[in-house]
Amino acid sequence: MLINVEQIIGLYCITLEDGQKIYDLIHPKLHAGESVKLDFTGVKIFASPFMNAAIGQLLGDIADKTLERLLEVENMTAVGTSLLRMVINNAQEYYSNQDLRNAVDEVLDAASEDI
Amino acid sequence: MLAHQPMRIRISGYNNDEPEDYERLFKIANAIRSSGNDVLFDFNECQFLAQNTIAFMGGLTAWIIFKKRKVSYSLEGISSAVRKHINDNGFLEAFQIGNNTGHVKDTAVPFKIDVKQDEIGFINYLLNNWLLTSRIDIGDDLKQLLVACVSEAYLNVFHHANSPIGVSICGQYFPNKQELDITLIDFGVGIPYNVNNFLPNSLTSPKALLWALKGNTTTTHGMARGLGLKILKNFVQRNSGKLEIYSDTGYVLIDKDGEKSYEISTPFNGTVIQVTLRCDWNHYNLEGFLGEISPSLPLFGRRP
Repeated sequence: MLINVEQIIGLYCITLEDGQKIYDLIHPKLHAGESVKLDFTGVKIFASPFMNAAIGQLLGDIADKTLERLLEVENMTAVGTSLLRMVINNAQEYYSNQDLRNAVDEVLDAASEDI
Repeated sequence: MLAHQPMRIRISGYNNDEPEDYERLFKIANAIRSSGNDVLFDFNECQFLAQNTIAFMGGLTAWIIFKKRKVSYSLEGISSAVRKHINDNGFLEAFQIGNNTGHVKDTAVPFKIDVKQDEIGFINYLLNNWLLTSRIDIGDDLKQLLVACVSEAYLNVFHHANSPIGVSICGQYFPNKQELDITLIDFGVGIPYNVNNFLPNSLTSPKALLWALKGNTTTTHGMARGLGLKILKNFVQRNSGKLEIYSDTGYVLIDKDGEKSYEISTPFNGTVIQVTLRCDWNHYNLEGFLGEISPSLPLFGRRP
């Protein structure tokens, strides 16, 4: 599966909502063991909410070794690549640290109940 | 004061962007909030307005209008330089004040107020009006990174602040000081309110701001957190610039000397984010704080 991100999102990959659009497209394929190529040709600006939602979130239920094998990211700017690497490191820490995740989620659940 | 008379607020002298200037603005906002009267802003003895005061006055004007109260401006005796500035940056046009020509391109950084999220418009504003190469020549990589970080601060307003006026924005370029500033202001619930609704134990406002600046966020269920403010902190410290945040009674200053937080005496129901950059900075090294940027490195490889 080849996805031209600029055609779907545009020049600026910033928001969590836009990242979720990409995640919703690629997650079922990756989860089924299919290869995905994300082509970022033309995208000028990247921010971490987009990266978290589109790619960081994949680590929630797909192993990083599997993603390294199945997911190809190409034609991303140097800044975009650096940010993506930071987002992935951050997501790896988040998803691998069950205590941290439980603590955050428990507090969120409690806050939701209060509301 | 008779009920039908507007409350007269004098904006006089030199209005800069130091903490004491902000406290004066917060007092004005609080006085207006607690009064039900219409408001007349009197600029007749005003000598200087930095971008933060313009952003603040814009946000406050929008808030008064949102509350269905009338607001007017008296500019008869204003300094001609200040009048030209708020004409050229489009502030007068935004609120249809007096005779104005609208934003004069290629001079002032425009005033802008976004009631609804328009991230594409905001990014274009940063690239085409604020970060002009004629003001700060930092290269495309750095510009992209800075735009991404400031955009995250912008998006936070719409995701977290619940601000009835959205966000009020104004930038300014000071050629003599070689400084480029931008201020974003919302009139929402404030960062400490959100943090203290999220955490089991209540933090003071300065501590709540520091907590948010560590990369923590109050809405990350099932997903890792945003990194924009953390990178922006790093950025301004290397640039010898400043990142300042005011919300409720908290004030945080981040500069090359570190991170300091203060309790201020006048609370502000909203959030101010102010970024100050040094334009004469030429020691930038992208790899220095983003890590290795070689595209051949594995993306998902874990750190040793």
